Amino acid sequence: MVTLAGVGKQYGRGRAVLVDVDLAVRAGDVVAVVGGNGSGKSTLLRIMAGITAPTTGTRTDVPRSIGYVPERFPASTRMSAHSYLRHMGRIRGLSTRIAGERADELLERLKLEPGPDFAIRDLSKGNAQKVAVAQSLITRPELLILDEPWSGLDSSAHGTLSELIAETALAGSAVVFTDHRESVSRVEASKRYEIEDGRVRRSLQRRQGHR
Amino acid sequence: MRALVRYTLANLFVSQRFVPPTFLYLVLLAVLTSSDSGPLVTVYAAAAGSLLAASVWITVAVANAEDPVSRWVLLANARRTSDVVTATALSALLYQVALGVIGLLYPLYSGHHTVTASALGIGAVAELTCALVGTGIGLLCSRPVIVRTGVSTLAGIALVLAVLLVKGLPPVSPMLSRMTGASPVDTAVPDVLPFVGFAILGAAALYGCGVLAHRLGRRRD
Repeated sequence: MVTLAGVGKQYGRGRAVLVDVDLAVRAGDVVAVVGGNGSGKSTLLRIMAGITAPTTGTRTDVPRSIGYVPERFPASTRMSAHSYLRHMGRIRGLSTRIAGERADELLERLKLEPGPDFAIRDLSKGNAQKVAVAQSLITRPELLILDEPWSGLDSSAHGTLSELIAETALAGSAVVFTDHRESVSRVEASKRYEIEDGRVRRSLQRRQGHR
Repeated sequence: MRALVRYTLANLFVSQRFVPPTFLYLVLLAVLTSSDSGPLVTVYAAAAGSLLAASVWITVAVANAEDPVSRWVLLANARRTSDVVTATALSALLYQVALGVIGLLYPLYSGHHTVTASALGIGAVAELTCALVGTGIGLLCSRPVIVRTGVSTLAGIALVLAVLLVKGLPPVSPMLSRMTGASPVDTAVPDVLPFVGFAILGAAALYGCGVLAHRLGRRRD
């Protein structure tokens, strides 16, 4: 689904964020990437999503559609959640009508408060995060990438997000998510990678997640 | 691409960032072309120069209306990251078409000119050339290539001045001097052909800037 070989990333002349990363994600995989703050998790996910190019190494087996949920969804736009999602749906190839229906369905499941017609900038952090999750699933992605998706979500939304992730994996997509080292993963991961100082290694000890 | 352009323009309008460069353009147009009775082509040179300056700012406004993180989301959803750069350029150009039409019509209304089809044609092609070059400069002066507002402003001004004033630097400088030269084009049989050449060079400049902006952006995002 996506294969990274010898991937390194360095911004300008700064220190290397990622060093020699080899990683393969296959259809149906649920991959957890754990590591502390500033360990390079977010950069690794952006490279997997094709948002930024690696400085060294290659990214191959690129999936046809990718859903990406950033760690902190910006609450700066005055566009309403519903119209933002309709735009993203159209960009992913849906018709306006289908995109609107799909947006309503997802926002209802995620219980967006106060409602889909409010500007994203007026939403709380958790509710903006729900919009970020909804846009990633507006069409079923072959590869779903989530950067600390649980941060800022309330407990009922945690449950819904875990369900959505499980459904996506069950439908044959690959899922990659990051989490802090300390927290227990909320979704049972089939593969687990630990990242420290930009180096990634497969963690063989499989921890049991709850839910 | 249509969906991307539609989103980019919607985002520009809700951000209201198009207002300052539009105002700049209208003020320049009013100051430089009002109540003029000289050759129409000379007036259109001033209008095209005004559009060049506004064009850079409009393109920066279009690109920077997108928050850096929502840009990442957009890049993932668009799949081909170069499509996002293309959509930024197309959206900025579409908006400038409206400004260009104002630039063609306003001098006719405010001044006294002998209107000829060839002068109108040269004016339109000149505005197009300036829009293409300005959009290219704008792509290089906006996120993700240049992030900081101060650097972006100074780089934009420096590049606009260079393109306008460096003698012989194609396509804008030679085009405008041809339009304002001692023998204004619309007194003789106007030669539209070189202007088409300028527009093609403008398109090539935009393409080059777009490729460069995309390469640099891929490294920085």
